[in-house]
Amino acid sequence: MDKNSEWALLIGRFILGAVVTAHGLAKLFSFTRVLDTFEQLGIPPVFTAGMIFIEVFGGVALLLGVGVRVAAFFISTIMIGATLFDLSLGLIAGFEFPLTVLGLSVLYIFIPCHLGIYHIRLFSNFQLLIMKRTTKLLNQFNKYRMRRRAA
Amino acid sequence: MSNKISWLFLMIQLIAGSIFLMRGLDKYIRPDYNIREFAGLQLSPSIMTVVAVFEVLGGAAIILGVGVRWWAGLFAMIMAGAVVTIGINTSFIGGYDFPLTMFALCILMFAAGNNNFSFYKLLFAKKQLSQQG
Repeated sequence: MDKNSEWALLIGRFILGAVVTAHGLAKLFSFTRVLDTFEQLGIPPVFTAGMIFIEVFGGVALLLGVGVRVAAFFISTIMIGATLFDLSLGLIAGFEFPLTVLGLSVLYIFIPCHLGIYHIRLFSNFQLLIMKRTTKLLNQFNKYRMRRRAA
Repeated sequence: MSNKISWLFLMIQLIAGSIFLMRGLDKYIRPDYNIREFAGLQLSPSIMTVVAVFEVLGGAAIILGVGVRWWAGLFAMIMAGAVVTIGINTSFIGGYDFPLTMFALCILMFAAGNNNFSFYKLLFAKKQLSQQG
């Protein structure tokens, strides 16, 4: 993507994040009622709670630009479920909204965004070095053990 | 524009185009319901007719992949208008969230441009497609 398209990706990401977060928060604020309603539709409460969790945290992650691809992946799994669930209602006022959100989130799984993104480094250089050395030592030890076992 | 991104935008175009086409056809098939919807937003039926014409033509064009950039720009303006008019009258959830996501799709299609894969290219521009891929 060129420089102008990056701005479009940023706008799209903010809109997707805002919509998903708003729906998640709306479900969170009327939590017990939503649990009852979804149980009547045949969705167990565990799934509903997981769905609300993914919607809130995935939407916030999309808004902040932290772990965009992972968040988009989890949101797309939910939206596949929502689209299949609404499939019997027809396109208009039915599965069109989950379908558009699914399309947007699948886009953000595969397209890397560069604008407004925070890269989190889990480990420092020193820690990475230590981990490398440790794995090397472990590999040597395993090799030695296998040789002993073969002998 | 790499191959992978082009396939993704084909998916976006099919989703957005089919939704616009169905919405436009719906305005012809059951006009009473849609006139009531537009009247709820203080809009006249003449605006609905204009929007329906644009939606049918533009939806079909976006599915085929003819002039995607300009249709997407037009729809982005229409959807911005929809967001404003619905946003004055109703709330976010169940109100203007769907026009807002359609606005995002239109902005992305506008930025991606005309050079993605499409049925039109598959049928009429074989040489160009193979060169790109």
